[in-house]
Amino acid sequence: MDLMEKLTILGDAAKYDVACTSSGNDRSGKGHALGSAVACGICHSFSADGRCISLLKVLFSNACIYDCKYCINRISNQSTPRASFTPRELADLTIAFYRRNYIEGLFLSSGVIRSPDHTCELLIKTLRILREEYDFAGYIHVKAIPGASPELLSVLGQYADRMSVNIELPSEASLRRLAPDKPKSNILTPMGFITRRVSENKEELVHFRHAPKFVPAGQSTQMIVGASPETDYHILRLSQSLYDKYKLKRVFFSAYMPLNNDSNLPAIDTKPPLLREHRLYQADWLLRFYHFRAEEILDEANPNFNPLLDPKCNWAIHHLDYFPVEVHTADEATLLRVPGIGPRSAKRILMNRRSQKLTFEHLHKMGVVLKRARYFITCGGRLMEGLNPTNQNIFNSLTSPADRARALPQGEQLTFLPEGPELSEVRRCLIS
Amino acid sequence: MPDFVDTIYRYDGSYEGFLSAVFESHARREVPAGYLSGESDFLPLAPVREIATDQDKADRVTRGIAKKAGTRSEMLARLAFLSILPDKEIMIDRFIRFALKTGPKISTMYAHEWVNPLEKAVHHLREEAHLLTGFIRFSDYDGVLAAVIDPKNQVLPLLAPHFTDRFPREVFMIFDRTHNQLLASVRGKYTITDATGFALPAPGESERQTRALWRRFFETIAIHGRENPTCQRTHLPLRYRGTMTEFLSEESGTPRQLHAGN
Repeated sequence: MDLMEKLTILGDAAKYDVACTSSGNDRSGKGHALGSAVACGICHSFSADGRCISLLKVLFSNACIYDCKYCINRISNQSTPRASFTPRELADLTIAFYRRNYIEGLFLSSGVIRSPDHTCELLIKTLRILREEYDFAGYIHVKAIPGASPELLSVLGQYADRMSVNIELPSEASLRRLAPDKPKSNILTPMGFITRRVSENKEELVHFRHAPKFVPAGQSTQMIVGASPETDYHILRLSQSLYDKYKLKRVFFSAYMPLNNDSNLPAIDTKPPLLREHRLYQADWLLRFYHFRAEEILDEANPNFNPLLDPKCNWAIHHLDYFPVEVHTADEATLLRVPGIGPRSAKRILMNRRSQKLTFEHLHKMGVVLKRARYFITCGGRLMEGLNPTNQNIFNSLTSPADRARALPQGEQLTFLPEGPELSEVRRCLIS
Repeated sequence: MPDFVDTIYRYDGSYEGFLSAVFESHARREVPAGYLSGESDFLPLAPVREIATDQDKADRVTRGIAKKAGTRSEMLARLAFLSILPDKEIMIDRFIRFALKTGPKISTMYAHEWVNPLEKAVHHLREEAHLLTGFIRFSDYDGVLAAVIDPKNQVLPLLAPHFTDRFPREVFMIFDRTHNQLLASVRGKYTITDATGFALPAPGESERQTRALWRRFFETIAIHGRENPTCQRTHLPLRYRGTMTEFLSEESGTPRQLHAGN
């Protein structure tokens, strides 16, 4: 089988892995033959679905011995053509792409060939050619193979910038139902192992400056959303505890794309829940950059996201007693709660208010989105002039006319809205 | 108070030349009505003062800004000169006057009328340079890497350190077709020079094969059930695609239709 064919099969097999970021580590190319890494990450292209292409994302092999129901590479699927790279082929291809600046590095995952340990050894061999033979200093993200021995994972992690274990599904019950060969322990054990090794490695680096670094850009994971019945609240709390307990750098969500017909799965013509995925990412940002806790964003009574409002606006509209905040005196965390103010504009407000009295005009120039923010702030003790803060006006400024039209209670569109008190809140806003 | 005069200063188009003009205007205690760079054919109706580029004077202005208003302000003026800020010379001139008067406090005046346009323009410059660190496509010609770009801002001075660090043992060139400038980097050392008529030669066989592999990967990686050309365009505007391998067909070198409606 020629390289073109292998790349087609193994690129296709890897495309449902979401994480393509190349961020989290700074490494100068000085002292190496080729390559560098920058902490902010670099996107090299964007595919037709609008997703970033940063890394050469492929499976090493799709000849998998497992039978996970949601996965296209499950052993029982007769219709998928199978292929495997050799370590040499893949390393050479990575270098050829990297020199032309097509990519920021390699994202390597694999189906399980023969055994987890055997697979892990093949990945190590590939990375060793890149790091040692080519002295390659570009970015490498590698998937920890569930069930591989800690010794092998430890070696694998020394060659990688980031390592990840896919949690796959948001609960143990769903995992048992849809991925019978992957018990929860198979996922959490390597995840815990990586977390421990990262913190040990920090210690080692304090004592020995040249101790080999273990996944310096940390650990990430991903889960499929919409293949199983968990609520948004459940998923968000799970992400939060992964950040807290396992010190993950990122949790990725992937809207379920029906690929297989199985009685345990949503029907094959189900549309991927893209809006839900989008809302999860917005909430994930609130956890990581806006000092929110999952329990503030959703709760048992309102376990799912509002389709009309992003989670931050939704929080604000339900906490009007918290507002307005005065931009000259509010601290950073308080400013970050205002819809239309982000980390960058919050920092600018803090800086600029030291030397001058701010006006709404200033705020606009600093990047504050006044269309949303104006209902929630005062500037020098005053609300923006000519403002009429009725519920209706606030609601209108936070949503787009198209979304509102879609959500108006007419016929079947109703099912689009979540049940419960949140719905009545939205309706009240719409009608008042 | 300096006088506002109707004289126009003509300098050679370089940043040092511009700073020499700024030095001259401060020495004469006058504010010129405008600046002309050497290349422009525009026939001025006002009196013109010819400015000779003087490295020493330029250095004194640079040090003066850094000392009075901080190195960040000095950097802002320097980078704004590479940007596409309209009337950039006048805007930078006003900024420098304001910076010298205001002092270090200027770093907290992001929204000020003499500061904000420079901040915005420099942000645009940095943003474009950052995108190009990803979107530049090199071709391999017997071991030498070469690329062409069509940027709006003069991004080469920002791209040079990044790629030279990344390719410490390579010989590579990036040609800026908009400003006719060539970045040449030879194993860790780079220069930027004026150049015209730089065009990429036809690719060899192994280069064509690698391009074909990349195009295939690019098409394969998209999930067709989630196709979203608007989102793709937001992140990767059409104007960058004219020099990107995955958007060009090998035979004609012209943009290819990737997907219906794209």
